[in-house]
Amino acid sequence: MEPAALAGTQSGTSHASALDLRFMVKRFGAVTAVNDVNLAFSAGEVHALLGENGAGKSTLMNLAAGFLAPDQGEIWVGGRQVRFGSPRDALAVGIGMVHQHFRLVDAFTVAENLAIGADDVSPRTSSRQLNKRADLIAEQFGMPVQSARLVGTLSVGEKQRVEILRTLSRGTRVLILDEPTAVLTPEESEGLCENLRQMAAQGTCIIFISHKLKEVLSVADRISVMRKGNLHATVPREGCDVVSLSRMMFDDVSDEFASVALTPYDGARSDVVVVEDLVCSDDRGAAALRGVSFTVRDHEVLGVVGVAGNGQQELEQVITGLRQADSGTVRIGGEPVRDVRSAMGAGLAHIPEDRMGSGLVGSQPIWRNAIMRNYRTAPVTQGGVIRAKVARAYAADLADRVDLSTRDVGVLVQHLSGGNAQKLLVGREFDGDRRAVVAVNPTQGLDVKAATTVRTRLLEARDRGLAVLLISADLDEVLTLSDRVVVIYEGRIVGEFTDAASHRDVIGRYMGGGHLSAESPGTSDSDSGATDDSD
Amino acid sequence: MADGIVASAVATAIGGSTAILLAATGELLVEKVGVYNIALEGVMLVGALSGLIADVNTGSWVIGLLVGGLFGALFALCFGLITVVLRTDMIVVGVALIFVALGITDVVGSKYVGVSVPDPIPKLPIPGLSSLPFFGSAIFSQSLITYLAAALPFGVAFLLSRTRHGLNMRALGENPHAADTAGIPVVGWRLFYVAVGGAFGGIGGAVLTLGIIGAWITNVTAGQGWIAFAIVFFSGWRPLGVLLGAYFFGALSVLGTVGQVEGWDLPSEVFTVLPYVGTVAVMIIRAWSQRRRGGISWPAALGLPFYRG
Amino acid sequence: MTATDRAATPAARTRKGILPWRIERRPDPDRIGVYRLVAVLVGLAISLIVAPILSGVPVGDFYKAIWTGTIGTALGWSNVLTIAIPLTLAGLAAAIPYRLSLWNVGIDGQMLMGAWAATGVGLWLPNAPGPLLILVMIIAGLIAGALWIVIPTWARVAFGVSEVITTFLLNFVAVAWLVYWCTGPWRAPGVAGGIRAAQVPEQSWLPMLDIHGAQVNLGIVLVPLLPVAFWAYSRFTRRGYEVTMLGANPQAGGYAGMRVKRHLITAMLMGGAIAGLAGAINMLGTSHELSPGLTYNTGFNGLVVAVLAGANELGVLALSAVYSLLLAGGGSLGIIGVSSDLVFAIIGVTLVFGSLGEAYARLRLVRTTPRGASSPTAPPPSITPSLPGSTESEGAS
Repeated sequence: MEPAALAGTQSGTSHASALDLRFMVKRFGAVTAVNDVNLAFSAGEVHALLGENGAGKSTLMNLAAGFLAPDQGEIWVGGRQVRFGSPRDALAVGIGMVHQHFRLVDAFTVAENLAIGADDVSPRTSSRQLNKRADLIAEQFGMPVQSARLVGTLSVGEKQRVEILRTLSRGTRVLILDEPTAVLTPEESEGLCENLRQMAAQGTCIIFISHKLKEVLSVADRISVMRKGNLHATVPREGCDVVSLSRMMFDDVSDEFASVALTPYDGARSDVVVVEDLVCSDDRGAAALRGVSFTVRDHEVLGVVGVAGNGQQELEQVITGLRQADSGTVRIGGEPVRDVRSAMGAGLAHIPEDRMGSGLVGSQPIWRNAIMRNYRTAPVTQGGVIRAKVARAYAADLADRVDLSTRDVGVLVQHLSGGNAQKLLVGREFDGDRRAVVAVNPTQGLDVKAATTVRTRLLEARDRGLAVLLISADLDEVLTLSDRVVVIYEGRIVGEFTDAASHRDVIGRYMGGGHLSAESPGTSDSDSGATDDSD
Repeated sequence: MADGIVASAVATAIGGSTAILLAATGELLVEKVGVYNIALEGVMLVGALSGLIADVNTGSWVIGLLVGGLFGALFALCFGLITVVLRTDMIVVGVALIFVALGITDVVGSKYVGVSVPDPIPKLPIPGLSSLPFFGSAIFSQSLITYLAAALPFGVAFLLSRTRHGLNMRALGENPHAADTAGIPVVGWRLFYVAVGGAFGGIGGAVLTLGIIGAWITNVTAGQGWIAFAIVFFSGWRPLGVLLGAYFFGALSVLGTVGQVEGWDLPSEVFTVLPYVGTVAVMIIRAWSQRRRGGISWPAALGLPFYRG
Repeated sequence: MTATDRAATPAARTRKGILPWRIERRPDPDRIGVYRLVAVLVGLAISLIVAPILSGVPVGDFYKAIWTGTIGTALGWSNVLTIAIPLTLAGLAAAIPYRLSLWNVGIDGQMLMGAWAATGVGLWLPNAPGPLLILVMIIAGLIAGALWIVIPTWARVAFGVSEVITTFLLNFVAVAWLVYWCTGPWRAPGVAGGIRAAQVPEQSWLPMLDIHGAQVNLGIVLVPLLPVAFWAYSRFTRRGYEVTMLGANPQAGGYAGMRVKRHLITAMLMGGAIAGLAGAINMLGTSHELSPGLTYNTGFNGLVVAVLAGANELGVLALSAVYSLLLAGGGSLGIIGVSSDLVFAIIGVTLVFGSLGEAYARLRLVRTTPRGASSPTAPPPSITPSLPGSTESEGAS
């Protein structure tokens, strides 16, 4: 027995590697996403795969579960080498993966989703039969679900349970979860981690992808750290702490986002963004906002937190003029927002969540993207004609000011890294006479350095006097950056906190609807630090 | 007798809808797994000519239909390989293959223009039912293939809603990533159903040349493939909607004959355009009512290329 | 697990029937247009080699007919140039909506309606002076073409009804409409054979130009003019910039405050109007009379040109030239008894090849069974133990 196998396994159920990845290499064009990684996972362990965005964690696991084919490398399962043509082949040897974006059919019931591709369903089925089967599966794995509900109507946490159940019900012995807690409330996350530990105790190998240090420390038996496509180290949890792990994750610990901080502001503030009693429905016609009111003042960051899908998207769209509210008003600096142009005219900068999808046009050069906010007027346009020279000069100047990796403004935006694309977007949105900003998950998918740059830019904007509305699913980010925090739940603002950082637990509870069971919003003021809307 | 005219019009409407009904039912299967074969018009043309050639050479309408189905499936498979496997634009490739079918069937078919079909599809009156009063003989004196085509949507409805395989099929069209993650071979099944839909389309085309028209003429389908394609939209992706839609358009297309005999004071072109105008109108009305009700009824991943990972 | 166990199972366990390759997207697709064009030319070459064999005529005769029908004779040149006029315009009629991912599959119908309106004006004002009459007829054609696409445009913008089907089905309606007018009110007096209307007044016929012996009507000036004008418009103006950005990413355009619906409507109506213009010019310049067969699938050919040009206006100009040669050559095959519809098959094949070229640029093949480890006989290195806090990198080859 080679010394390698001695390390790590502690459950004692088996010394065989449940999954052994050897020499794994995966390239995407010029980028090597996974670079010669060797890593083995044991049955009965919770193994965390830690690394920042773009470190190659998800790619490596997509190789292991048959979603991608490696350029080089071998996959061994239970002592045999296997090859995967598709996820089907991986399922056949007991490897299943739950992706960050759920792979469920919204138009199907829970029971139907559990039956997709399953061989144990009889060829001639009925919904009664499927529901019974789903209940049995739920019981077997101790995760209750409502079999007859349409998946599209479930909460994110419930969808995740369905997805995990579907994977487990196929006889999965290696369960891979990609950032499973990213969309959950703190309470749901704890429940999930509890479940995972139980599964591991019964002999399942759990691989848990995450970039959150604390969470990894609380759930994992062993931790593997990836950095820029390479496996950096594999360590047992004992003896690790946040500092030692972050030293493994990052080249330079000082890059961590604790380095940005609010500077106190003592001057008088006035209301800049005033949102009054917004009611609006989503694309399907269901109620999304049910009477939302708040204000954002100058020199202030207001954080909006909530589990994804509680009306954040509609709120963003109404404030920026992309969506018409059913009732209620949005004013920016006193001017009502009717459409995108009036919002822009009132001095609103917008940093949308999906920068390449909504903010930038990847197949077009930097200069055309740089002028998307000011192309309508002189000096860029004169007499209806775009003056390319002026536009290029403007773009070059902007690239210089935001320190883009290239000064060649003819480069296509799709060739920029995520960090540089975000720099361009933020620079463009902040350039000019602005009074307010709406930023949605502005650091999502960025590495730590780029994320810090973006956070710094947001705080600089605040210090220049802008009113900043930060809508984010990342609770820690919101707590770090915000002067005030409001919690959105099912289309309503259910709580407001001024000294938010010291009320992390309460906010977490509110995100999951905890205000309903705990105390009424009115009485929560005194003990939770919540304040009234009015000053 | 006016009644006799109406009865024969009903008979023509039902019989004349067979080709469209077969093609549309096949297309429904294709769209349920997430692909739309816009080259259906070309598939029908290929089926129409190959079926006719087979009948002329073998003297058997059964072989004619089978060959029409086979070549329809092969032609559709070309579409599938290019679009499903190579993830190219379905509209571009569909239009291209219609061109190819139009050109090739014209060149090859020029030898068969004016050739009479030795063994046309025979009528098969059902004893008893066909002698019922009113429309008995109109409805129950059709060819075997017309009865089968009418039964087909019921079979498809059963397959889609009551079987394990139907559930997997619908998953392919709703969210191929879900199906893929659950171990269903997405590309394989999509190709299979493109071929199946092509077979139905090809048989539909052969029904045109061997039954309804009884000869080969250049561009014999004259837009029937497109109408079949539109009927699937019109049906709200429901098999029984396809059945109704096909008969509705069959009825529209024989209105002209009825009108002439009954002496309606309208130019015959009004009746020529009814199926086309009707399709456009119904599509708009459907979309409008759906917009009001909210929600969509088409397979959510219809027409989107599937990339894993 | 021991090393000997592993040695005992050297053969990989593989499901039967596993494909040795799988297809993945290229992360950075580049020069798609170039691949598409090269593929089109390859498809064209293959078609031109296979076609004579398929049609069963002597190969020499086949190419000779094409040669004399195109660039070999002045008459051939006349044909090519005459075909190029409606084809280029139809290409634009498809390309302008296609820039915003809209499909105008109803160009033939819009052309017919344009020709119909122009004919109506001509028959209504038989004594108007020529230049004025031509102008009014052309304007009528533009309007009629645009009107013919109004319903599909409205249905698309208001309810999201696919314009592919609606624009296409209206072609049949246009044909029936023309049959009615050509066999009824405007029937050519005393002419037998074919469905056609009376000729429009002679002073409205477009003058013929003589270009080095090739005869072509005045409409030829539009062939370079319109594509270049539209190209310059989209490249240099503010509205053109908006279309470029919206076409590449409609969502980002909307987020930047561009009026998406207004652009969609404009593009569709513009496409219809240009198709109407093409129909009017075609009638005024060549047939001088209305007939339902006037367009002969020109609209579809224009769609092919627009798609292969990637909706670039100058590309439309260049590819229209190529396909005019092809169509003129195909038309001349009738002399040797080959159906001229063969050329449709060739056009279809080139379009398929164009798609294949694009697929080649976008996709790559990845081996399902990768080349194994650097040294397959070496004992499999599994995880190496790392002490807590260790930052030692491992696994470097």
